[in-house]
Amino acid sequence: MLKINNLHVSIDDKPILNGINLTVNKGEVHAIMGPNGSGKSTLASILAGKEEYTITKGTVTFEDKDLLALNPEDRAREGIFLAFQYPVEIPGVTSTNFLRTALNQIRQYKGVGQLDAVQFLKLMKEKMRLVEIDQSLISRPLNEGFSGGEKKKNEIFQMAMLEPKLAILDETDSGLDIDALKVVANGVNKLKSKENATIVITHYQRLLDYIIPDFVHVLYNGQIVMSGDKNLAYELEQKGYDWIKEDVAAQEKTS
Amino acid sequence: MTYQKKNTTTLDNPSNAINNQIAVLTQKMLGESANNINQIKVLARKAFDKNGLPKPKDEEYRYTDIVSSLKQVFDFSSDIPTTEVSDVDRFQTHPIYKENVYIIGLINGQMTPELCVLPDKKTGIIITTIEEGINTFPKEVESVFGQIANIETDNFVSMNTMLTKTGVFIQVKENVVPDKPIVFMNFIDSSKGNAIIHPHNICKIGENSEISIIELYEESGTFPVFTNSVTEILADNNSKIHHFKLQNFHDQNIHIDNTAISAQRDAIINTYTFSFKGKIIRNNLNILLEQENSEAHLYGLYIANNKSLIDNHTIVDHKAPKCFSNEKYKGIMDDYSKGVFNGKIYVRPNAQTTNAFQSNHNILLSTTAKIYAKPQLEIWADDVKCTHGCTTGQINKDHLFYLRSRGISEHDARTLLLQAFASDIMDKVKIPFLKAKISRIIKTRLHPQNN
Repeated sequence: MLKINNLHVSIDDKPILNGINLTVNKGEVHAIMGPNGSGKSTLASILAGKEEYTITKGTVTFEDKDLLALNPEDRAREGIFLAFQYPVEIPGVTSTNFLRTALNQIRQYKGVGQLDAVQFLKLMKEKMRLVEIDQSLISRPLNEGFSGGEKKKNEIFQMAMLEPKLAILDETDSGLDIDALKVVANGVNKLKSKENATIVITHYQRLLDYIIPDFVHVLYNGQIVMSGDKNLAYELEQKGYDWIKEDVAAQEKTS
Repeated sequence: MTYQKKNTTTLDNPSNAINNQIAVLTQKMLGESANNINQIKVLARKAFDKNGLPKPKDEEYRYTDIVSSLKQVFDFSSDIPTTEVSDVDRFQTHPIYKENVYIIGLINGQMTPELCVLPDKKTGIIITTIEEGINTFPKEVESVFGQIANIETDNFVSMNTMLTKTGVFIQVKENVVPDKPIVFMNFIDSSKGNAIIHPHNICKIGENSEISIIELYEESGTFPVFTNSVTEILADNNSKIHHFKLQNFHDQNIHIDNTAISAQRDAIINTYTFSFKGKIIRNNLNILLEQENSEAHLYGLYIANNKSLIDNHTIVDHKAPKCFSNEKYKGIMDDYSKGVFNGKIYVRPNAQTTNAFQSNHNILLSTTAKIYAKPQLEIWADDVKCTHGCTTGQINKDHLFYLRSRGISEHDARTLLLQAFASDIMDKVKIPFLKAKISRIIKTRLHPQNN
């Protein structure tokens, strides 16, 4: 589904990603972990199409299409969804108007008919139940005055509405208490299927107790330095990242 | 620098020719009748003789050169050209006549009975022409005419006042709340020649009364129009006023609106100024909080494109203690348009425990659009809470990316964000037909092609 091949990215001439290789197939859950500043969020932003970055080398294909050639809206229409680490508050834009516009533009791109107001509201109610989000949040302007937890829940709700093929959760667990974390993880699990895939970017193993990954990758200095199964996450939780840093430093010395 | 009428060496100043034409014109008019109102007109005339039209370096008109534009097209040497309007019928089909409102129908500033839908006089609401007002209710008119607007210091107010022929007199007696808004439906017809219109409206709102006034314009004809209107409103104790203006003119038209409102004890003034199109739109809005516990809310939204110039000059004058004012103006400028916002707040020495707030936010959509924003606070009292904020920027990139990352096209995302920017001003409009009308204009206008 997603193939990242030797991806190099810099911002203002400062290299951030230094040769990422990653393949994600449908039905899989990948966790990307790593210390602060390792490039995790950059990778998420790049996949969603944020424009401030310069891609210096490498390719990314999504369902055999050149992802990097698509603008952000077409990536979303192809089925990529980024749950933001810091969802923005947009006063004056109502959640329903925003979501209906988004959903219908995606449907139009796919060549399926648009939803009218009644159909849309029905779908919204159904998905609200699914991800356990309160009606009062949806009737407010987009994320305005939301708590951290409410914003994250809203991201998952949008994901449920737009039904992406590949969901990228960028530190969705940050700032959540355990109850909110469970609700969010629950939502993600309910949306999981054999046809879609999830990339979970996180700092802590905690979230991975609820969203069980098939693969865990460690990102450090802009590269994936280690991959494994969910047990790698436990190991990281116990030992921290220092041993990986030392490992990498040692390897660099010998090479 | 004082302008001297007989100084022949300043012929290069475009205002001279117009000043001279107007002087001759006024002389003719002032000879026509003699009453107390005429004394005011004479004062205005004297002030105009002294000050003339704004000169290019006048601080108040630094960014808004009205005189050069006037000189290019308008001829003031003849009497105000009145356009022959034989077929009133065609105005009667205007959609406003389907709305549940009172209508003061005016053709080129002249109140036209066939186009009016007025409240019954028994309701305590009197609406007449200013001429009839002067004849029938001279004391009422005199208590307002030239008393609230600055006839001696505002050039265009002087000009209007000395030339006043048309206009409307509204009196709402005490304890009256009209059941519907009152619409000034201004039909401007410039199909047979340039139109120059100087309406002077007088509104006297009685104690405990509440009124909504809506100023609408419908233009026909391709010749340029110059409107220089003055509206003076006296809001008596504990009265409440909602004053809406919708300014969406043809590209070649020049519109100057001078509105001065005097708020007495416990009065509440709400003004809503929506400016969208015109060669030049200049609003001089002066709110005088004259007695304790009076309150003013000034809302403005301007969206300019092409080469439009939209200039909002506001004054909130806190003259008494315990008054409150809140001003919020927002603007979106595109293409080669120019915006000016000048917001003055005066807090006079005895106006203790004043609360005064002001904000002005602008979005520039093109590199060639300009905004000149200047908050100006002058405070003489010491127990005062007064804040102002002013920002100018582009569409927020993070917001744009967020919407696009959900599958919304860049174009539609921009439109959504601009509508959102305008929405808090729009939300202040509680009259459904007016809100719908303004929303329609905004929707058709907010299709940015730049960037």
